[in-house]
Amino acid sequence: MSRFVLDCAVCRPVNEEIGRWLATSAQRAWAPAVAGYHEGKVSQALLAQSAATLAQLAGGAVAWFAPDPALALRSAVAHITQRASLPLITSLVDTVAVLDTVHEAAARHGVSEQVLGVDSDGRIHPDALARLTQPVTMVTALGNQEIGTLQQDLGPWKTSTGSTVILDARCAFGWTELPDYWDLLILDPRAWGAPAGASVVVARTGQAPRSDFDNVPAAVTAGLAGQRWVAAAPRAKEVAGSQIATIRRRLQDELSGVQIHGGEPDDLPHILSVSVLYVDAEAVQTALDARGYAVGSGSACASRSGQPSHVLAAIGGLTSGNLRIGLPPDLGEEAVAGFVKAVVEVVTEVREQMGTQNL
Amino acid sequence: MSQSSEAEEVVIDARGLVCPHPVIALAQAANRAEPGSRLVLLADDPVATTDVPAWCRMREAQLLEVDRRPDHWRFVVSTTRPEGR
Repeated sequence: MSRFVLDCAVCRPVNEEIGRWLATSAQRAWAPAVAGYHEGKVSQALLAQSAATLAQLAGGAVAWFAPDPALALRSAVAHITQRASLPLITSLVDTVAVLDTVHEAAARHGVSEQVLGVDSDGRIHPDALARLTQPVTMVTALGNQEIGTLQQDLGPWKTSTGSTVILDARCAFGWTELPDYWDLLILDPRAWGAPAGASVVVARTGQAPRSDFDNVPAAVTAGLAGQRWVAAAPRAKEVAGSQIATIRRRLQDELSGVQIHGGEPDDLPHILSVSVLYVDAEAVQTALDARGYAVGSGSACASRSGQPSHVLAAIGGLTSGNLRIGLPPDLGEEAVAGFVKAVVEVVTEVREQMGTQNL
Repeated sequence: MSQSSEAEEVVIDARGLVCPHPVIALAQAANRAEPGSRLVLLADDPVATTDVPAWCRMREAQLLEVDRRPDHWRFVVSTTRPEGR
């Protein structure tokens, strides 16, 4: 049976080629980058080269690595907050990692924090933004990882207030043009099929802070995979955009009681959130998995935390019966057709089992 | 789950049920009820605070009241469309 992972907004499967790069990097860069002999200097050089590659791909001056996205965010916030004690601002639909980082950093650095409301599409509410008239540090996503919404242009606000923007571009990088209003950018190479372990902070100007980051093989692989992804992205955007439009249209036509977020012209091209009335999300997810389709879910019953998606809750969306779709860049058309058919059949079956088919 | 109906009010006790079942119970009651009925849903699953309003928007029902009680929420829903729509 073919298997299709359609939960690629946050991380993509590591393909064979990237797996080989990782194995090669593990052999070439086995030594700690701090070791004061030849092999250590090789690791140091490979680490620096990969950071420079990623900085250049993102249009920044320098980049550095952190072991995971939360630590990358923490490093970025510390980088800004050590220079200027500005209030930390984020939004209701940012990731749990962002919300937690802002909360912890505000306490650690002794600055105030504020979580801004959003409109029904999940963009920072214009009124909330307009009320911020003093310089702040904004930490928010370029594109929402669950519903695909692209953030409004924060450029004019940033310029008029003299604020600093840490832009979380983890699931947007490559899928959309980067705006120019950021000071620091957060990237996670897992989103383009590199292994976990080397999240990235890119700074538009200045120098990288001192770091004891030591997972050189992951960092090297992240840079190589990043180059490959940026080259492939223009085509991937077109293909995924068309596939998402097909999935969106067909599910709306073929199922009753669905609410879909994402797939609008201004959204990220590869993300869709589908909420279906009167089904147990976990049952649908499990049945799709058995048919070879891996999808995420923002429903409480399908989550380890037992909590529904805070993103769907913030925009007033239906949190039950939710499926999260993040397309990979190389999905065939037959997989799209097979997936739509599987969703329609599985939802119908689950509704019949639950006795909700006539609601 | 028990239901009791008065003249124009249907009470749906979905306490103890978790998502998606409170919304299913509400939808079943809405299907059975006379047009214009007031549906009173009692639920203690916090997910209902998001999903009942979302269901009302999807089904063009009107959410008239949400009351936080000590151990549950009380939602009052009218299945008639608001005037002018």
